[in-house]
Amino acid sequence: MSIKLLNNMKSSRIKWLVGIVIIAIVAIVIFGSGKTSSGTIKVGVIAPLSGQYGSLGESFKNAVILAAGDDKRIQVVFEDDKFDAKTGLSAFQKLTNIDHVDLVINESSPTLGAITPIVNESHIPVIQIFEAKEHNKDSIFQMLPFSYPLFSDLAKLAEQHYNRIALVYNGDSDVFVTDADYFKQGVISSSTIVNQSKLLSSSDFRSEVTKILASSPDAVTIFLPSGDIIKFIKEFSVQKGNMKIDLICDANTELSIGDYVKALGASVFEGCLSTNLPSLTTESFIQTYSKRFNANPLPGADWGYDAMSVVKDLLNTPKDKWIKKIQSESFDGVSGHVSFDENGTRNSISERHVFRDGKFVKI
Amino acid sequence: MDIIPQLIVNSVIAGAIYAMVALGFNLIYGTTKFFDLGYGAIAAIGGYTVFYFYKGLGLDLYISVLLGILITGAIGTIIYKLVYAPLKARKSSGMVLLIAALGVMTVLQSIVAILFTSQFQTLSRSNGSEAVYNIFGGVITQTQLIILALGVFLMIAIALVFRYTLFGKAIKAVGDDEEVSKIVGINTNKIISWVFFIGSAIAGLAGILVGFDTGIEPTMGLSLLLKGVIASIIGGIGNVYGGVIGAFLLGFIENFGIWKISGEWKDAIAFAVLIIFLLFRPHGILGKK
Repeated sequence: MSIKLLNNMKSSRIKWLVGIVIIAIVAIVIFGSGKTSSGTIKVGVIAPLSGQYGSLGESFKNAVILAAGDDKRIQVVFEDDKFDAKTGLSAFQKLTNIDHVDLVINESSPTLGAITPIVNESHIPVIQIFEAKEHNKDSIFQMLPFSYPLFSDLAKLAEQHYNRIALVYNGDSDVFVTDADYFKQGVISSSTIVNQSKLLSSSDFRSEVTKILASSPDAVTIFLPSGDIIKFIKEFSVQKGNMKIDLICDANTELSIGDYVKALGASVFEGCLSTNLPSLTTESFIQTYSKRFNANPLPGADWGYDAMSVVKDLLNTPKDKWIKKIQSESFDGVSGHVSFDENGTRNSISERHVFRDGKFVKI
Repeated sequence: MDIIPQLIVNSVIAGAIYAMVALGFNLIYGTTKFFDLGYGAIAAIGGYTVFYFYKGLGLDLYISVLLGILITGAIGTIIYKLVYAPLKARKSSGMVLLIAALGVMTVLQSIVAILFTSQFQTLSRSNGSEAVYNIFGGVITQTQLIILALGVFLMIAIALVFRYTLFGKAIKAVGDDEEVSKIVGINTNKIISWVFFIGSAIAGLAGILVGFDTGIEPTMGLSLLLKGVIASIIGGIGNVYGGVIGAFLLGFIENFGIWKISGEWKDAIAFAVLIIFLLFRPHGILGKK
């Protein structure tokens, strides 16, 4: 074999090697462009840490901290939205533009309404806790199941007990308008709803209560913010006197029932029908939470814990595969089984409740 | 169920609340010709002061209310001395004073929210045990009757002070012309300080009574102030009696206005009435042309 031939063979091997290296690099570029999570995830958490839902927000924050644990690979940045859409939008913009978080967990419904258009543009995954309006398939995943079954079932339950129902709802917020719409859609007979009152928080409710009572309802269902509920029921009780008109509660009322009972007394709510999600919070979560924070977790805290558990599941998944990974989630969390439907909303069912002797019990 | 007696009672209650707010506001405006936006926040402070002393510390109701009135009066005077008086001494324009007042309102509102949170609170210690009276088919609570009685009492008291005391005449003189009042020997600074004290104390009392009637929240003062201002403009801004007439008129228009339409129109009706008065009778019912 001549030296020339040997040199040709060497050069051909080198060419082959270079070719293989180039192909490998191209393959990595094409198929591996989705960055792995490089071992860390920066999570932005928006919650009402002050204001009328401040206590719920604090409890939610605690649960997120508890779920994150000491895992150094997860960095959490908290922002307070005061349960206000504008403040929530600013918080989201700060988290995405300044803190450059990889994913957002958001608790409040008003904030979700404000950030949805940006989320849909940026495709940043958002794990939402409370519900806003119905959303289609996107990068938003909702831990609280879609509320249509909850409120339409409430209407059916109410219709089984009452023939004439007055509906009162807040016109300032999409959340309450939506809940009222779902309730109306659930009512079978068109003559059941005898009065509809759309109210604004700034006004007193005296004359509205007068008009409602004049329509002679058997029961009144109220979709209002917590402060307005107290104002409304106070005035309603004064003007109603001895008239037999019941209140119909809902999942939101159940959420803040402690505050209402403190302000109005428990007797006002006696016999109040309601629908809510089944309470599936695990005892171990309640105990761990109580031990760490010297208080019981408030509603929504278990969803916060599970939201962070979903995030932890993403640690070893490439970032561009996160949406698919969340879509396929299926595990038993501290708030029950966690899985999402095709629109990214958690699957669940509604449970019927009644207020008896100071608390809501299953019917 | 006949709705009219209750609508009349509702109108009278709303009118009494607006009248009390308008009384203090008109007293300050009539004397200083200054649009005191901070007045609304002072009303909220009144409510929260009683909340702190009565529900927080468990003090006696009457002592708590008295403390609430005195503290709000003192805060109003301090704000005048620290913010408005120096600006007036520098001959600042009305716009500067208005912006300063807006700043005062925002600061006070924020402090209340920081100290007590933004959560809606009730002032009464008992739940649902308040006495209720039936007047010609309309129901009214004890608190609402007190609001009505105090509104009438304050109006008469202010009228008597204006008519029969040197202090009242001095207030009227300062309101007519501050410079001339100084020349004739009236200590205008002292008079205005007292006016701020009394006006703010009335605002505090209004906030306390509304707190007992419905409840308190840090932003409650703004809606109260707006209704008080509308009542003042309708009745004749700066005119104490006009403010009261305007308040009751506004109460009736608002409550009967939503008789056949949704309650969400209430504020829109109030402001529509304001615009109509500004266009066709800007000096109000009793105001001077």
